[in-house]
Amino acid sequence: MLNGIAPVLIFTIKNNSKALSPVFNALESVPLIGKDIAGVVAGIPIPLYLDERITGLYVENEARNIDIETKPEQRFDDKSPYFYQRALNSSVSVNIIASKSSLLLSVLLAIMDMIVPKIVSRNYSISYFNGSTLILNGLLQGFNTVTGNDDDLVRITLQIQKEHSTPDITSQILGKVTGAIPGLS
Amino acid sequence: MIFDWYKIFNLTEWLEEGLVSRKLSVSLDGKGETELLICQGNETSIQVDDVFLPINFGGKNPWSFSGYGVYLDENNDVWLGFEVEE
Repeated sequence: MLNGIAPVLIFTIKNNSKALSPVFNALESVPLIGKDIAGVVAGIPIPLYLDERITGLYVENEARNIDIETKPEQRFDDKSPYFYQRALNSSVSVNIIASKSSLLLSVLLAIMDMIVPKIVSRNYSISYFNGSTLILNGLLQGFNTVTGNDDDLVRITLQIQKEHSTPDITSQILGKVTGAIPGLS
Repeated sequence: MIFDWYKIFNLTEWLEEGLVSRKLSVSLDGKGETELLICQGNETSIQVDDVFLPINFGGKNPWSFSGYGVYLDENNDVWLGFEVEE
């Protein structure tokens, strides 16, 4: 496995301090992929090893989803319809089991709280490595925890979305013309 | 009546596609995201905010109803209008 020992989650929180950015850009030293991770979101990398023995977090299973919306447009005269497709998401869903007493569980929950205000600005990224599953600079799509009363386990579902570029919305805004009819004020 | 007009599509190009309907989601300056439905029956119409606007209906151009208007210009471009206070 790329990670070598156990699945790895790396949260990178953007550091707005220009003086400290080079210092906290430690991931650049990771062979092969360091620049890919650190170059996009220069910030504080926080790795979490999902190993039952080391951190008390265990990956029970994971799923990979790619959802695509297909819209047909019907036409007259028996012509075949147009089909328009767009990607809805490309994500990985990771189910983690943690012990209630795990310190890293508290760290994970705290990191999630740190990420929520940064959702709009995207000043964070999530990378996940587990064997053939690799997400670099992903975004948070969903997070929930379930705590049972019959055991001391916490079941966590973490959904990571592959990052897509932000569309240029300003170029798609239609300008207005005011008047009784367009062109006549 | 005074409207804020937005150019939505070209009627000639729309008729060439031969579609029955098309849903559009457009960003309008000053109004934000708006969903429109372009419908093709005997004539072409636009539906916006549950208001049905037939283009050039009965020769009336612009056609307006309930604060909304639709106008077909000399280039066959279709404009959608929202009435503003004069």
